[in-house]
Amino acid sequence: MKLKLLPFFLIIMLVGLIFGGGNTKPAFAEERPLLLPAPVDCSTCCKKVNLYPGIDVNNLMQIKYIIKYTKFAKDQESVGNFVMIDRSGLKRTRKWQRYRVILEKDGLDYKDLIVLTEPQHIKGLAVLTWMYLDPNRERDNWIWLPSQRKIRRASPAEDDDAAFGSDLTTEELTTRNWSSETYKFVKEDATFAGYTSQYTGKTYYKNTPSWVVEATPKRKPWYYSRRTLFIPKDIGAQVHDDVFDPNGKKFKDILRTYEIRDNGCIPMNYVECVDHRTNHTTAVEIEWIRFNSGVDEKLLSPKALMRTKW
Amino acid sequence: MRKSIALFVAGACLLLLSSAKVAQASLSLLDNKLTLSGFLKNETAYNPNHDREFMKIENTFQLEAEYMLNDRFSFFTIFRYFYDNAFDVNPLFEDNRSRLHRTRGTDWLRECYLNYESPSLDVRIGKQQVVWGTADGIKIMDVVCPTDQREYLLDNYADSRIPRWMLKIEYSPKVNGTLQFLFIPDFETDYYAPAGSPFTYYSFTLLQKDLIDPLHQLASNGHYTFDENHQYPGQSFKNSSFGVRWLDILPNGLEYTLNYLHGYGTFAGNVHISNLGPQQFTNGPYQGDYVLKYKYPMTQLLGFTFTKGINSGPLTGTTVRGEFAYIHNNNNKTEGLWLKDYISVPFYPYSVPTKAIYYGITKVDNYKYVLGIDKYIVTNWLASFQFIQLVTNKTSENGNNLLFGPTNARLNKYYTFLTTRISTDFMHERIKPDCLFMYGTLNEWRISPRIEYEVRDYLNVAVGGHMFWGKRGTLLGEFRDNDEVYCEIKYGF
Repeated sequence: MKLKLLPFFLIIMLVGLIFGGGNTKPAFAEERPLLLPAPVDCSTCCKKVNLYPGIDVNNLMQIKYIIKYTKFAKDQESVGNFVMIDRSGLKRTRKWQRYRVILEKDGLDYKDLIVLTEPQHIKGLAVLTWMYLDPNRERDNWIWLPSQRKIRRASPAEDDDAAFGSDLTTEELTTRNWSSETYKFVKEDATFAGYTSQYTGKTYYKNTPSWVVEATPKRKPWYYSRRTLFIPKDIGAQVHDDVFDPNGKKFKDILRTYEIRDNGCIPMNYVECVDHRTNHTTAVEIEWIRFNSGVDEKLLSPKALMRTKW
Repeated sequence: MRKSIALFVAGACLLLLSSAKVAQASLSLLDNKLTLSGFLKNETAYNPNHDREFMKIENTFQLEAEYMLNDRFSFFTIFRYFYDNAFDVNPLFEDNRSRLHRTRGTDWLRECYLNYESPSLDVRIGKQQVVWGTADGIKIMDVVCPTDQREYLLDNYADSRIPRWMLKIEYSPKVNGTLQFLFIPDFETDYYAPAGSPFTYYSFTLLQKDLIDPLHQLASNGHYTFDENHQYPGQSFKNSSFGVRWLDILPNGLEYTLNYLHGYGTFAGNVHISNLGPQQFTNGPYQGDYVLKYKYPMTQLLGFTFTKGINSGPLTGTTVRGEFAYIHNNNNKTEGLWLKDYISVPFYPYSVPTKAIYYGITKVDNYKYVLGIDKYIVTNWLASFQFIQLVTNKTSENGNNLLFGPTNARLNKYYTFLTTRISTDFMHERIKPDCLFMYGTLNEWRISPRIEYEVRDYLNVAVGGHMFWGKRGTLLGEFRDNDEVYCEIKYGF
C-alpha cells in the first residue's frame, strides 16, 4: 500500500482543480434597465425596480430574482425564525441571523452567511455561501460545525434537498436563478384571490391585480414539472407559488409577503410553505431586516465562521 | 454519587419546566447584553461483548455565558461539570475512580476569554480552543489544543479538546486573507487514560501488567520501588508555544492555509533504574528503584491544508480537501536495555552496573497527511472518503527498534488508513443517521454508526456504537475488547 495510492489521489485532486476553475460569463436577457439608481443623497435607500408598462415575462422574472436576492441593496442584515410544523401539530424552530453582501463583480454575485442561534443543540451552526454570476458555476459553501468547533468546506447540498429541514428545497431558498426555468404569461391582467396562511390564519393579498406566470424547469426529470406564480403589479415578485409534481398534481403552496418601504427597499418579511404530500408546514418569520448598513465583505469569509463561540 | 443525583434532580427540574411550556430559549438578561445557555446531558455506554459492563454513565452540566460589552468587545465563558457513575458501578474501573469519575481541578472552567472583533482585526485572550485542519476521525493538524483521550478519539472533538490559555490575534490585510498569530504560555499535553480505564492504550496496559504490577508483587521479597516522574517544562517565556497561520482563498476558489507551530509534541517515557541489584531469578527484573520518566519534546510543525469545491464540469458538487503536517524533533520510544555506571567488585564478573535505562527515547520526524473527497450522492446522502498516511522517518536506532506509542508494538514506517463517512437525514432533519468506517492496512477496523433524533427543539436523543477489530498491536485493534453501544439524552436551554 504505502505511498502507492498517493498518485491516484493526486490525479483526482488535479482533475478537480482543472475542472473547478471554470467561470464563464453570465447570460443576461435584459435590454432595459431593471433597476433605477437610488437617490445619491440617501445612503440607506435602495435601487428601485423598473416595472415599466408592457414589461415582458423574462424581464419581469429578472426583477423577481432581484427582489428575492435583495439585489436592490448593497447589503442586508436580518434576524428570523424557521418554524416547522408536522401533521400532528408539533412545532420545531430554528432562530437565525443572516448577513448578505451583493457584489456583482469579479465573477461573484453575492456572499451570504446564515448563523443558527437557537435551539441550543445547533447553536452556532453557520453556513457561508458564495454565489457566482455564472449560472453554470456551482456555489461554494463552508459550514461551521459546533460539535467539532471546526470549519468544513461543504459539498453543496443537492438542489432538491430540503433546506435546514424545512419544506423549501435548497433551490427554492437559495440556488434557483433566472436561467433555471423558462417562462410564459398565463394572464397579464389577473386578480389574485388571496391566500390564507395555515400558520397565521390571515388572508394575504386578497383581490390584488397581478401577473400570472408559468415557470417550467429546464432540468428534466426534476422534482417539479411547473409552477404558477402570482406577481402583484406593485411588487414585481411573486406572493404565491402553486408547485406541481412531475405528474402535474399540485403538491406545494408557497406564500411570500413583502414590505414596500418608502426608500425603495422591498424586503420579503414572511414565507410559508405547505407540502400537501406530508401535510408539513414551514413558516419563515423575519423579525427585522435592514439594508445598506455597511456589512463588511470580510465578515463573509471563512474567518467569520471561525469567530463563532459555540 | 450524590453529585450525580443532584445533577439528575437539576435536570428533572429543567424538564418539568419545559413541560410547563416555560420559554425554552436561551436566557437574555441586562438589556440582552448577557446571554445564558447550556445543556444537561446523559451519556451511557455499555460494552456488550467483552466485559458486559457499563463503560460510561456520564452526566454533564454545561453553562455558557456571553456578555456583550459593546459591538466590538465581548466576554465569553463556559462552565462544565460532569460525574461518571460507571466508576461507581463497574469494578474494573475502581482503581481509577478518584482520577476519572468527575471533573478535576480547574477543568470546570472550560473556556474563558475576552474577545475583540472588527472587520480587519480580531483579538481573543484567555482560555480557548483553536482548531486547525479538517480531517475526520483522526487528528493531523488539529494539534494546537491537546486532546483528552480518556475515550480515545470517540468523543466530540469540541468536548475532548483541552482548551488552552493563549492570545490569538487575527489580522486580515485583504478580503479573504487572514494571518493568525498564537502565543501560548500555557503548557498542556494530551491526556491518556491510565491502565484499567475504559479506553486505555495498550502500551499503558502492558506497562502496568509487565512492569508495575510485577515490581509491586516482588517488593515484599526484595528491593523494588516504582515511581513516575513527568519532566514538565517550567513556566517561562522560552518554554511557551507559538503558532502562525496564513489563510487565503484564490480567485478559482482554492482555499489554503500555511501553518507553523512551535510547541510540544508527543511525550515518551523510559524507565531509569538506580541502586541496581541482581535479578531475583533468571530473566526476572533487576532489583532497584524504578522511575518512569516522561519527557516532553519541543517540536516544530510545518504544514498546509487546502480545500476546493469543484464548481463546474462532470465533477460539480465534489469537494476535495487535504492537509499535510511535518513534525520535526518529536520523541519516539525505542526498545533496549542499557546498563550503566559499573563499579568494580572483587568477584566474577569483577564489575557490576549500578544503574540501568530500560527503553530509549530518540528524536524522529513525522509526516502525516490526509486527502479527502466529499460529495452529495442522491439528494441528501453525503459520502466522504479519506486517505490517511502517517510516516516516521526511521524505524530503528542503533539496532534497537522504535516502538509504536499507543501499543508498544514495533513501529512501522507507514501507517495507512482509509475512511468513509455516510450521513443523511429523514423527517425534515429530525432523524440523522451517520456512519464512519475506518480501515487500517494492518487489517484493523472501526465502525461507528450513530442516529440522532430531535424529540423537541431542546430535547435530543442519540444512539450509536463503536466496534473495533484487529490485532492488539494495531491502533484500532488494541480496542477490540472495547466495543460499546451508547445512548445520549441532551436537554438544552
